[in-house]
Amino acid sequence: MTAVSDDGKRFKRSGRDRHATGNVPLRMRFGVIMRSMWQQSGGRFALIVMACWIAVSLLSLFWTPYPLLQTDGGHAWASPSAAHPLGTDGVGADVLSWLMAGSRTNLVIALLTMLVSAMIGLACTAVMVSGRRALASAGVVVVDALIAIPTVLLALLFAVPFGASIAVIVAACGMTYGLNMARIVKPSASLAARSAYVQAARAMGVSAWRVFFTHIVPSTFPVLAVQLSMSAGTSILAEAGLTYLGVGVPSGVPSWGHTLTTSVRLISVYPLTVLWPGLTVTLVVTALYLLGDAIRDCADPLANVELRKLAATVSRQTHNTGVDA
Amino acid sequence: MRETNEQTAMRKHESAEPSNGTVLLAARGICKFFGTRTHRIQALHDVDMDVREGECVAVIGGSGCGKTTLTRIMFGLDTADAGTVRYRGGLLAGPRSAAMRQLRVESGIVFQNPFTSLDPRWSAGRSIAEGLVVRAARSGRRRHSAGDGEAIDAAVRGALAMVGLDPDDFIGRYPLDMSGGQAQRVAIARAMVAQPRIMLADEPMSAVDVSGRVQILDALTEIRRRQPHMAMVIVSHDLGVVQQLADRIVVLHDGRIEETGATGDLLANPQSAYTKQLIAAAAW
Repeated sequence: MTAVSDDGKRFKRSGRDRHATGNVPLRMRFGVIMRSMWQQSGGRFALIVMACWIAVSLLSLFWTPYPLLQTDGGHAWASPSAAHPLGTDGVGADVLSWLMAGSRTNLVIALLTMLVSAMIGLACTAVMVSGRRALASAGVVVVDALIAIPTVLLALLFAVPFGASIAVIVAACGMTYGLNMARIVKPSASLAARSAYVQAARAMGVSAWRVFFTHIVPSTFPVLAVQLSMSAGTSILAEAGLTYLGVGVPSGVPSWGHTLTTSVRLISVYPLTVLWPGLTVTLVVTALYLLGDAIRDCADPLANVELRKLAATVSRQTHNTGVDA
Repeated sequence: MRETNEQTAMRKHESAEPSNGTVLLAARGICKFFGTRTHRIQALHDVDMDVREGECVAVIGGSGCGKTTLTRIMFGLDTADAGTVRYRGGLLAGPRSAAMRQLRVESGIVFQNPFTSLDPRWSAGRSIAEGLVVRAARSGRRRHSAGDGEAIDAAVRGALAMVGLDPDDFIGRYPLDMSGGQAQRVAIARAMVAQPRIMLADEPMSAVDVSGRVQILDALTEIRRRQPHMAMVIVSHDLGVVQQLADRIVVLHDGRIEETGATGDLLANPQSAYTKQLIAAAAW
């Protein structure tokens, strides 16, 4: 079945959207969100940096200016030049190549940390807003107690049996950020859980899990979007710190933290080699924080009037002009 | 109150006697306490109430008299500290009891404030369809078919039309872009979409302006006209509304039933001093 949108474009309606209950095809919603983000200066900056980061990560899978293991002892700590645009490190390896390859590792760390912290955060939130008071109270106490454990200590504990690895960074960051997220998201989730619309849904026989994922989680969206993007950004900072401590990315695996660690020892002599990874980390972390704000403002129908207009327009158009393919 | 005679004549269910339909919902000896063990307040004292098929019962009384508490307990939204509620003979014993499940499938509830009873991030169409989508999913298929979708679409449109809203205009609209009256009519459409056997309207007009009240009253009157077999429990302060809609009135005072009777009789010849006060206050 196809239908025609307000701007004359034809789109295919999925089974879920076939009934006109105000559902907007995902592609159209995504288009409006991206347009709204592009209109904000912060959102535009975040989108450009994110696009560059992803593109460089993908490119580094196939190509870097120099092979990572190629070193030139005669040109150690070389200044930027045509041959090495960002210079070389202490063993004469090309800094740009290592930064490009490192972007891939940091992208994986940021995505996995976001996933793990979202899973832990939402699981803890579900317990804390549970209808069973004893369980909810116990959940709050446990989360409050676990929040006190710092990320570094947790990473050191995980590193004892497992050694330095990306998994240690993801587990330590995911857990601490997830618990923090649960604590921050809890007030808005509790408010939604006690709301009349949740009562109405439960009275219609909607299951508690469905209510949690369709009503309560979306109600926390503004906080969740910012918290998740902060988790991703902070995980990059944590990666640099934990790698410096020797419990992060293992030696030989490229990452921004690794490049920073190898350069920082001679920062007073060769400051430029620290500048590049430091600048990259700062740029990406700032972009991630701004991305969270932009998503909060643009992907929430309460904040973005364009999304609400789209829903109204599409449901009107799909009924009037919907035709069977 | 000025249009009493005309409205009374217009009412379809103006019989002085309570309807003889089957008892759908029966509450017996309901008691409810609030507060701590050392400082307990009894909100309901041994209350009995029946709701029969096809009748509209209005529960009236002053603020804090227990109207909402009683009806919430009767519709399974809250639990009583003593007493029983039966739906079509089955005891409402916890959320997993067969009678409770049946009540949830066969009832519709309209809450006091439409802006808190509709999810602000859901369009009107999605909110109205929620119960139907869940039922379609429970019918055994993981993904509902195009046929289900079309049936849901038709039901949502029908429900919106019944409450006097243009389906094309409102299906995709969010609560933020509606007036109080429009949002409450969407909430009524959500309660009505599955054609319930029994409906609770808990002060449906108290949170909207005067023009919104008229629209809601028209919508409820239309629903009563179209679905004469559906039972309705309406909690209201507004005796004008009660007079137009209700067949029977239950007057609550301090958690006890003060008086009950057919709407015309009770409003014309109130027996208790409290009911007289309520009627006098409404007329004033």
